[in-house]
Amino acid sequence: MPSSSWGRRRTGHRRGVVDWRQLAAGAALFGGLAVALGLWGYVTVPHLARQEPVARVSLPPEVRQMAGSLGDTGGSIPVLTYHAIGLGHGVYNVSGSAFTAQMKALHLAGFHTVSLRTVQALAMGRHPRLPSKPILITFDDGYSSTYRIADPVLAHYHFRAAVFLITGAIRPGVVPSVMLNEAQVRRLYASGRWEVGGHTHAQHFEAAVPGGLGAALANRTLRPGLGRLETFAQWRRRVERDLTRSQHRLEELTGSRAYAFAFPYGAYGQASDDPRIAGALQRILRRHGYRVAFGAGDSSHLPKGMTQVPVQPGQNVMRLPRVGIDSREGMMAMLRRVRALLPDPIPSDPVATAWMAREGTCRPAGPQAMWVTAAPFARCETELATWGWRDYAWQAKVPPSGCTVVLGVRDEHTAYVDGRLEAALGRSRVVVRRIEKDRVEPLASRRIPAHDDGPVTMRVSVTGRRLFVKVGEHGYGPFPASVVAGGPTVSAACPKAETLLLRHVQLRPLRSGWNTAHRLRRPPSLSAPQEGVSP
Amino acid sequence: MVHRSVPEAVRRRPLGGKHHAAATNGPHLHSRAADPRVDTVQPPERETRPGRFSVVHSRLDPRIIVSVRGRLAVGAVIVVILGAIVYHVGMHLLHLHLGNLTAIYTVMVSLYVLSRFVLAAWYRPPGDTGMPLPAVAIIVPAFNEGEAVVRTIDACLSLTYPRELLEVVVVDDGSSDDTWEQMNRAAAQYEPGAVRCLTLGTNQGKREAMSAGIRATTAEVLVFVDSDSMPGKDAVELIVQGFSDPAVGAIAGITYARNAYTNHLTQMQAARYFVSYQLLKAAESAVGAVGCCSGCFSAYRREAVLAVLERWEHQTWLGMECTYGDDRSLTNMLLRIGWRTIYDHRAEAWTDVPETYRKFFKQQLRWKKSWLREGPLLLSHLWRTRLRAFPFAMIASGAGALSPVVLLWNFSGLAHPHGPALPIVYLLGLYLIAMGYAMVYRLLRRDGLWLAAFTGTIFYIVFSPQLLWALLRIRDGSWGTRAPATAPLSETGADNAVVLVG
Repeated sequence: MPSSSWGRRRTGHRRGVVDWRQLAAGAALFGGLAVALGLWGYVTVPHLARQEPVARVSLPPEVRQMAGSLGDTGGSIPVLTYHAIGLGHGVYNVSGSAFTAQMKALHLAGFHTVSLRTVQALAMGRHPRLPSKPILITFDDGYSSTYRIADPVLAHYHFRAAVFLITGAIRPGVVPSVMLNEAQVRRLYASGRWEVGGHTHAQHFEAAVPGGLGAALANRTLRPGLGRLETFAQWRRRVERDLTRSQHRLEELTGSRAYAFAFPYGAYGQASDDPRIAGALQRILRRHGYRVAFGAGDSSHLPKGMTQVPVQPGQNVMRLPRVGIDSREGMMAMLRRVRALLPDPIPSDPVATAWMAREGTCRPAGPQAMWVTAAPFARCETELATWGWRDYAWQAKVPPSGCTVVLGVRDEHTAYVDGRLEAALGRSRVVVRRIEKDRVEPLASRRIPAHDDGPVTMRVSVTGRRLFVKVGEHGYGPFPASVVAGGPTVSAACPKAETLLLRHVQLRPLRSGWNTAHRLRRPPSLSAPQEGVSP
Repeated sequence: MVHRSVPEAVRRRPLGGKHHAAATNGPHLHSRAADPRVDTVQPPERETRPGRFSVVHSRLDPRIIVSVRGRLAVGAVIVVILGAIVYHVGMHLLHLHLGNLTAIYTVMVSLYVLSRFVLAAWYRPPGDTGMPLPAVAIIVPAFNEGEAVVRTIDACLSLTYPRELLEVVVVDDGSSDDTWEQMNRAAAQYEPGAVRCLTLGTNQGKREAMSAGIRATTAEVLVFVDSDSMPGKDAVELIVQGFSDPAVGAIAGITYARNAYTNHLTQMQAARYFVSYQLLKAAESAVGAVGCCSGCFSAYRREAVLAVLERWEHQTWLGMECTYGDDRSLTNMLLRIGWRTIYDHRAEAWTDVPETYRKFFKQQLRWKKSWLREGPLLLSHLWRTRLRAFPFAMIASGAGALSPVVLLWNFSGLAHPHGPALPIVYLLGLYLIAMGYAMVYRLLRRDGLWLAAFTGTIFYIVFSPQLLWALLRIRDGSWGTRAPATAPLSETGADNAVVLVG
């Protein structure tokens, strides 16, 4: 029996024959433990605080070709929106390598990033000096990946960007987190690459509103527990308090108040449960020092049939449009999205371009001639990127028929503007009207001479804030034209199904200071990629 | 009444603390020449490979005692492992990554595992108040045990407990073999009245055998010993100390595997039992609600048992008579009427664990079924009888029930559709917890089985989806196995059915 004395027992153990198998197993387990602890520490820190090196990416030839084919922005500034970069945040997330590839492609295409100030100046019509192919890159919410992954990539391509922070989610000090911490925000700001905007303090969530969920910032919400709708004054108090805190926090972080804001969910009050909110929110934002605000950056929020537009002069500076880039799209889709923001020039023969029929059908019938089949209605619009088309004349020779033929101009379907101007040619009257979200506002109605005996040429000219209509030899107008920009449409309403042949279908840009499109050069064709664009 | 106090040397915490000189009590050797599986005195040369050939280790066996330096080293490893888990939980809580159920599960389970370590460190064995020793009846239900029952009777009568206060009641549950003759023959070797033999005549089940034993005696304390278990010499003397607290209704002793070194399966079970007792039961004891005072070896206050005896005997659940899980159910009923149940790591017993996987899985299926039944029953009253134990019991039940689902979910590839093919965090967490348990084993015992504690934890987790099968077969009341000298009849490991990994 072993003795209980210390020395004896120790020697007793030391003297023992070593069991090599057991020793090896033990060593393996402890080695494994060391590895496991290290790996555990690595993988369970949700988001490491350090910046990741820029990944080497190579673009496939078709991407290079596409990037090289992107033309100028025509005096507008496309605005891209990213959320998190890296894995694990759903569709709003773009992987690090995809982001790097996208930046590389933009760089290759010759884009230059601009600041929020430039965008604001452009939107306010102040004609700032723009670099060639200007673009604004924004990041919403303030994920730590903005610092960890995006910043090194941007620095590598000499790009700049803006980040819209949910200030309430900013972690204190140097705490590593999925969201940015204070140190990271300060470092971003100090780099000079980054501008910082507001994205509310703690109102970036969807709250219960009558009939469902709605953005908390832009809706009177049902008060939790009470089931009662908050009053307008309560909404105002809630929003004001939040914006005050947000600005206070931003001032703490960057030393100055932010002047740019991004609406959570892009909700500026457009579908709010209180119609007063859209206007009130703008005023409140202005009072809190915001001079420029951006709407939805999320393409998935865009209703079907809507197009996306870049920032242009004359837009509401408190509702500037953005384009969201998310994980569901590949590299080519992202470039197509950018391409859709670049304006097409006004073609001399509009019939030769692609047309989309919302009702009926429209088919080309030779040069400057078009079949319009109304069954008994037809409405067609061009598929070109028409957002820069402001001042132009749109005409067609209309055959005699029982139909009402309508020529529309400045047809725009975006998340911000949805409408057009129209001139409808009847048998004895021409009616000028403005359509805004299916709301028809008649502007004028003029009696015209009968034109039953032969085809009559109808022309709609729009320039600046004035619209003219000419039927045959008689001119009418000017009428007020307030819709900003967009392409031409052609519609027909017949008593029964009928096909009309329109001839002399022509589109002609009018020289004026407002029109951006006429300054455009034609983008290089797809088949001949432009070499030398890439630095 | 005889005044006896607990030897100083055995007042040792199961986790940490200073180790004691082992001389005062000497090693316990439970040897019976009749049973070849039980080792006799160790030949001195065998000590050169400590623990390798020994079968029965008392907690005071110097061959397994860990040096102070060893304890510090192992303790540091445990602290590092717990630190890693705390860090992980902290990361989740700090950043409120509780958006999905998996994260909540991870945090809950991690907190539960941490709470086991913390509470187990908090655990103290019942103090010795110098109370007079009570009259004790050892109740041994036996069914087709044959010769093995003689061994148990002999073990019970070689206890150091004063003979005049001890009574052994052996109940034959209508065995078809010679159990009845064997027990009578064994009883005849002792003075009349020392061993009382009862028979039920027909096989009525373990519950009936136990309650017949309870009714046959008037002793203040009832000690249940399975027919394949053997208590240590001073085990009864130690286990009754806890009853000096008038609120204590039942006390669980610790059960070791006697055939630990037969094969790797028994090694894993031995290590698993030990960790379960020293970590899980100790933690439960710290809040006064040990979920299962196992039938292998535990003591019940007669007064407490009588209050629920009728109810326990005729327990039905989901419209069927409860046959398995009698010990867990009895403990549960005592808790329900407000008794405390505690654990005393000093009171040791040895039992045989299944040596084949077939028997092992059958036994585990029975335990899992009883856990599935008694878990919700425990929760239904624990919130009012012992509120501080309730959150832990709730996480243990909830997470325990979810753990097979989480295991399958993690390996199904659905959990991280865009992530790596292997659930790395899950596997690492598993590794850390298995190592944590292994280190607890190594902290307390130095017999090489800590490797089995590691593999055992992994093994128990891997077959945890058996719980789903148990759920399907929950209405099947059969024991699956009830043959002589097979699996332990009672649940030995606390929460063995539950494997918790985030």
